[in-house]
Amino acid sequence: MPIDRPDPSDAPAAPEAPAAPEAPAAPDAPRPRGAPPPPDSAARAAYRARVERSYAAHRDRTAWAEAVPLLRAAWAEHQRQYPERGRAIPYTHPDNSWTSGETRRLTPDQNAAVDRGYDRIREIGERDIVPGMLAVEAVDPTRQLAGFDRRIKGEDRLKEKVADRMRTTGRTPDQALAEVPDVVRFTFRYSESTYASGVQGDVKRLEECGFGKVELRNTWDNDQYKGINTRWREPKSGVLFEVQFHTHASLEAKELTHRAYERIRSTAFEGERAELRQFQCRVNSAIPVPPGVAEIEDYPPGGK
Amino acid sequence: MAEDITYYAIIDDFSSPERPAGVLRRVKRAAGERDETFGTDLRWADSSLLYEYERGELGHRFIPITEAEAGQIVARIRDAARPAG
Repeated sequence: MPIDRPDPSDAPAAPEAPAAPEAPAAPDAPRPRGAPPPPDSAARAAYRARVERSYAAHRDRTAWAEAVPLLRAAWAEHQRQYPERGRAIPYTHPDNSWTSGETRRLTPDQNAAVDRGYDRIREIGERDIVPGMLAVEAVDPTRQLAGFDRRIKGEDRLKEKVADRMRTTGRTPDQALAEVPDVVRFTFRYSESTYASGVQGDVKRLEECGFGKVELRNTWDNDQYKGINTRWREPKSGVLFEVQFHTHASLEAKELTHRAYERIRSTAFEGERAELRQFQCRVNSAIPVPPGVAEIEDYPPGGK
Repeated sequence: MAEDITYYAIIDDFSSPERPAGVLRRVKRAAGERDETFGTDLRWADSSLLYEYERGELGHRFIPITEAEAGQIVARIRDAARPAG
């Protein structure tokens, strides 16, 4: 039976797969002049653990790559069984009121307040937040901002969130708008092996940039969504923005389940919703969990 | 399957567990499940807030509460909607 080894072209990159060590010399063998001392047993054990983690990560990535086509097929089958239903269409009326479906509505004054707030947040985002994010990104070429073109939330989706919050919590339009965490949002994407240290390093860099950390949620133990989402405050304006931290696989999973999530929160039948949640669970259970991620703690500790 | 309802207090940036911002219920039955919040329009209506939270959304927290505690939040929302005087 052939040994299941990674194809060289698929093998983990250098930082993840340290070069094989030379065989340790026998304890009694003479050591050539100038040769480094033999590694002690602790160093050998640590080295082997690193190699094993590296190959385990490779196996996980291979399993994820093999799972993706099956998950896409499962989603196609779901769509065949449950054709898309009509969604509520957001509409700005001639009097400047706004509606989306039966319960989401803004009066003309409320809609105007959200428009003003949205313009202000976008301006602050581009002027005061984007430069800081790009500076943080430039520090380390091993990870990137993904989906940078989508850094500003769409207007109608924002109004849906504002209307939901106003109806549920009785907030004013300005309060509800201030609470929406992702009007301005960014995503950092890392390899699995550098994820935990990369997130911690970038959180520190964002703080050093002067942004105030408001919230961090580590949802890698969640069956519906895996990643680390954070909320930050731009200090001069007080505007909140969101930074998500993903691996390549967790971001791909987020995109793969996006339509399912959209259905869950909008058009799904009651019966379909359970299947959609099961699909999200199936996708997320296939994502390789990066080493060390469990040690990244929520902030504030114990929840907001 | 009988109807199984779980109630949650909604905590946001302007509220606390002692005085939640709102109330949500997740209703499970044989046909499936749905989430509803009790709103300022004084009725229970579909809500996606908890699904958004489960999808990693920040800014809200959901604390399971009893039906009686949910009733207190509903009563407070009704009181707030009552015209003054």
